[in-house]
Amino acid sequence: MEEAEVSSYALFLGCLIPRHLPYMEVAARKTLKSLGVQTVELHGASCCPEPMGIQGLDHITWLALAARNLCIAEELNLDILTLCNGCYETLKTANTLLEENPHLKAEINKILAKIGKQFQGKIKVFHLVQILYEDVGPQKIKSLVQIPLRGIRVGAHYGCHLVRPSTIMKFDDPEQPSSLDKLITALGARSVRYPRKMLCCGAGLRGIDSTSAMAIAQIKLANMKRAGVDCMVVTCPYCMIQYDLSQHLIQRAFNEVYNIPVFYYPELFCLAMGEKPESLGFKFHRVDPTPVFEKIQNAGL
Amino acid sequence: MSLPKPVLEREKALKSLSTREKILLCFQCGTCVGGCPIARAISRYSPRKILEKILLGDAKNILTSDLVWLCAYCHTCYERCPQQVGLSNVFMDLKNLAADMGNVPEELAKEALQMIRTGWIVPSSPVIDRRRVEMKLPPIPKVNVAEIQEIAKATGFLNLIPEAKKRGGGRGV
Amino acid sequence: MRRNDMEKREQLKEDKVRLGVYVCHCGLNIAGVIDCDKIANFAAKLPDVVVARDNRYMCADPGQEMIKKDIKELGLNRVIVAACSPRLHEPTFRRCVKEAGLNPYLFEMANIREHCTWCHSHDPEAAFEKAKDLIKTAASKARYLRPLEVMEVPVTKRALVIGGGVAGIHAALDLADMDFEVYLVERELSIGGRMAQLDKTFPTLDCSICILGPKMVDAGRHPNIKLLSYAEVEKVDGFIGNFHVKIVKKPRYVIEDKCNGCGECVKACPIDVPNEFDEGLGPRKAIYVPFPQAVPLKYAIDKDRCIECYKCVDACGEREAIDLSMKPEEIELDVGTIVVATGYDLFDPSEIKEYGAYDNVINSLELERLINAAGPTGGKVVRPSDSKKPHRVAFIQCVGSRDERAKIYCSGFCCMYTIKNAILLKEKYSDIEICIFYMDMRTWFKGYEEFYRRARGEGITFIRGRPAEISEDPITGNLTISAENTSTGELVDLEVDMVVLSPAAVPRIGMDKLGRTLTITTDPSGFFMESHPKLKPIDTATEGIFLCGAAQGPKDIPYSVAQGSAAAARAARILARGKWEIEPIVAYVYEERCQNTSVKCGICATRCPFGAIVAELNQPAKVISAKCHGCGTCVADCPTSALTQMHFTDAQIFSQIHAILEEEPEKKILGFLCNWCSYAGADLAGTSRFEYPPNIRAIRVMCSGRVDRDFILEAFRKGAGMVLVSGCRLSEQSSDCHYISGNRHTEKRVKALFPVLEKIGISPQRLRLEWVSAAEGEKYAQIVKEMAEQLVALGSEKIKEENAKAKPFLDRMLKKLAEPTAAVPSPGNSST
Repeated sequence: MEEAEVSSYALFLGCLIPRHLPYMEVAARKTLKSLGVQTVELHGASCCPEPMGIQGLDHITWLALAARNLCIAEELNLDILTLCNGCYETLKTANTLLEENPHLKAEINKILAKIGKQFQGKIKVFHLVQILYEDVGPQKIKSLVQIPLRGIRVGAHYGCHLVRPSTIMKFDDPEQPSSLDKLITALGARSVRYPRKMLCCGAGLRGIDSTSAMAIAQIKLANMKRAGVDCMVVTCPYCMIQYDLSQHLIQRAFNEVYNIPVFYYPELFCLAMGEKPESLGFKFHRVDPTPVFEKIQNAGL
Repeated sequence: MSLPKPVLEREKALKSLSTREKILLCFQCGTCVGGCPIARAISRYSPRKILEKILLGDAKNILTSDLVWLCAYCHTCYERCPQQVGLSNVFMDLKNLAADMGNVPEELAKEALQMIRTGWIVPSSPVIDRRRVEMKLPPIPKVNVAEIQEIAKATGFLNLIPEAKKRGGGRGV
Repeated sequence: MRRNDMEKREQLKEDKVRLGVYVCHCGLNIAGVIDCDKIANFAAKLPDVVVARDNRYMCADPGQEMIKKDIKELGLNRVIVAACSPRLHEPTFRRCVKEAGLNPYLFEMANIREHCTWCHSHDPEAAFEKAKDLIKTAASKARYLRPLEVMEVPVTKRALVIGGGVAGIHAALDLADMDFEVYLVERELSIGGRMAQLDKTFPTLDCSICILGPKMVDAGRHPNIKLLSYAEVEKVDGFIGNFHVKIVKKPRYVIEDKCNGCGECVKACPIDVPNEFDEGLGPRKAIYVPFPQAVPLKYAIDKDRCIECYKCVDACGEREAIDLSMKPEEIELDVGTIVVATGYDLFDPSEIKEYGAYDNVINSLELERLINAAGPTGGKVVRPSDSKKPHRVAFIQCVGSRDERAKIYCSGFCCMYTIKNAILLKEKYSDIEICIFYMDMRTWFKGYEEFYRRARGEGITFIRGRPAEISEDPITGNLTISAENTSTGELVDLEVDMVVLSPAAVPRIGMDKLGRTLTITTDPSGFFMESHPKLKPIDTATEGIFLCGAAQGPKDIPYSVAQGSAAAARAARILARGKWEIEPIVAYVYEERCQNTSVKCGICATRCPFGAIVAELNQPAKVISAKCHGCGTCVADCPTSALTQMHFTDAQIFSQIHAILEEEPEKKILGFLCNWCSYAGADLAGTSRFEYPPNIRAIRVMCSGRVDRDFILEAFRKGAGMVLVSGCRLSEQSSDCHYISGNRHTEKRVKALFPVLEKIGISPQRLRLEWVSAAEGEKYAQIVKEMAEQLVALGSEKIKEENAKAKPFLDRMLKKLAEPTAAVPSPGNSST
């Protein structure tokens, strides 16, 4: 196959992944490297900022800070690639709002002028999953698979901000998306149908009402269990925290056993490409994914 | 409840909302509540009821309560509303109004302060730094905190955070 | 003794204009503000005025008698009445002068009430001056008026009904009973439409096909009805009374005359296909009738599925009714009127993605077929996934209706049919649990609220709350509906065996194509547009074409039947008279000026939404007068001024412009207002007594589309202070224009003028384009106020200065106006 043009992106790491869940970063970087996608570090970039709380305090500040991050990428003349649904929403929304509203753009640029920056709207914002689906494509991924994940039943969790609000994200479908499912089947696994697939993970309530946050996450775990999954896939560190780090708490609070390992899609990708589990940070997962590795091995025999 | 005063209240609250024209179209069908993950977990939270209160001019009670901060901004209501009111953005506007009135949850205030001080909402940790080295990850690029603080000064962001205000926020936060 | 009009026309060439002016007091409405006697004296001194009188009430008998007497005794050949709005009494006075032997189109009105004394009562002096101007203007136009004759066209005493549902059937039967020949064209293999698919009807629970069947048979058998089934209308030419229609009959591959409906062919056919009549829930063969009561009861072969095994031919045997080589048949006929009764389709609910596309979620029409004893399951209601009887069924209303993402309108009949289906299910299965999720219950007519009451009384649960999503249990196939019960404020996660959705009623596939074929429009919802939503719900803007049934908008059976009969009556009005009168305010082509003979032009044809003007290659454009509605849009856009509009000619309008701007033009606002909306809006401002500055002088045109850019330029050339062009309401999505699209062309034309005016130094606010509807009197007054304020702010000096600077350019641009125009034709020359 012809070598595709080497694409280059400004890598937006966000806060949670580099500073709390670095194993997600490892998997993401390995994935991008193996596909020949070049990334450049964004020096000076800050928190995106977080789209729910920070925007809730002041929309204009949030927008200005997001615009500042966008400017850094504009100065490098590179599109942004994010690893987190939250960063994706913030940066893409800010980019779109400023492009479509000249008054708003003028107002924000007045603020940015104080730090010697001007937003122009030259670049685009992508999510890693979007690049994998739209640029690379499930067919190409399938052709690169070394260890097909045969027999693995996966529950795909898109999260909220990958496809909503659809008027801004314009990626896949907000109610019946298929991109992540196709990326999963490309690895040889099965993406299992389960009810209330587009339900939020509940991370937004963490810190405000943890019990309710867990209750929301529990719904999906229960539905996935009923549908019979071996593991679930997420595309966002917040969802990872809700389903992986808090699973044992949820189990205790609801007196249920789920034992559903949670993978960040790039982690599953790396496994399918033949990466040894030890080279990825699985020891930092709270829910033990070993049963999945065993299943993969057995299927390969 | 007599009519004129609530209408004035509503107009006042609506005036500052960029989404005000659409709010008036809400016909209380309840689709937003049916899909709302928060309403599912917390029975006293109902996006529909909040909207009704605003339409009837009862906004002040909403804005001074914790209800306004419960929206997780998941956009499910935004997608499904048959009147396309743009609910999640309405709630974001309400949060801004509430913050203006001094109603800010503690956790959020902490998060905001953290961000202005360091540029990140997650504090740095030597454990993680070591782990990054072990996992052969490059160091996290440095953030230009001065620029962030300039912006925050320009917008008066710190006036919204009670802690920062107490310490006379803006100067060497 | 009435003088022969023909003589009079000839006399016009020599005779001088002899003008009579009549000023009405209208009680104190006019006389209370201005001195009518003085006005009449002023009028008497105008050129060509033979007599000027005033009277308390011109429209009353004494006033009218006065006019008639003067026409006869003084030989008047033009009459002006200065009184109320022409929208009110122009017909009255036209009749009056006609009775005195004068051509009714030699009459003109000056609106000194609604446009003058009623809105300038606070400034009687200014009102007086304005009244003088208005009369002078009317006199100016009157000099250029020419006699016009209404055109009479013959009417073919035959009707075409498109669509054989319950509305179309009733229209056809009523027309046939009135002894008119009717062609009933139906696209499907059988008439009957949606009603034939239903099980029972609300609120009586009549068996649908039982009450419809006899009507279908009547329609099939009526000696005056020719039924063309499996046929579609391809082309329609002509105009009211004289439509030429081309119909294409699709091949059945079965010879109708030879087929006796025995059904042996079906037994032999090996191919199974989903049956459309059963909404795909059951099978039919490749050779089939859609349902047992089909009219006509003739078989047909679905050639796409037929494998040409010829088993049916064998089974048919000696009857030899099957002919696999059949070709489509073209039928051409002439009809006088057309009735459109094309019905509705259902919205595809899978577009509401949060409801999913699950096996056990069906729509209402599918349920009708399941409940129906003649349906695919013999009347057993079972769920699609496992054919088991459902124990708990949920209905969801407003799927795709009242939804900004789909259709914003309410489909009107779903509340009732869902209640009916719920009651039917309860009757069949007494232990079944039923829950209806709704936003509102619309049960508005006779017996409907009682029906709703009955449903509640039978223990059917109603939950007011629109479901957010439906999830499916992959193991059981059961569905969980997540909704809020807004009455209790509690979340509901209801698990049910089966869900029935009530999808929106949407326009039938092919409606827009049919609309173009007939030159009738659809409204923003996609259904055909009626002429006036309140007073003319059956007529369309195209004369002679009528609507009935769901084609005009979703409606239930009694409403459809009533409209069917109404359409028959409206059509019969035309057919019975045998001839029809067409108003002569039509477009006319000066063939020698039409450039389509040498270059490819045809601009006029593109402007006409009625297909009334055609421009064939190398031919001058031809106006089909009977189709022309008289908007004048083609006239305004003709690049060589080869077109004119009778009674609103360029000469007449220019004379009005010149008259208005004769004195102190820089202080005046010249307004071009469309008859149906803006002029009416201005009338309303007067009726409502909204006071506004008296600077404005309005010129009435039938449509803002008539406003030639030369009118505007000439106005500025003559020194006008400001110009206002106002038409019917216009937005991106819709237009209220009485002539469908006239105002869109106005918009383009006027907007193109702004840069031109800027270039020649005219301040931009001096030309204003507005859309004022007949209901917006206050808006009109406000616009005039603003313009008058801007006029004062600019100041007369500045305006005169700008005009002086612009004049040389305008002189050059309008040079062609100085060229002699061709003689104004007599109406006998207009092409039909």
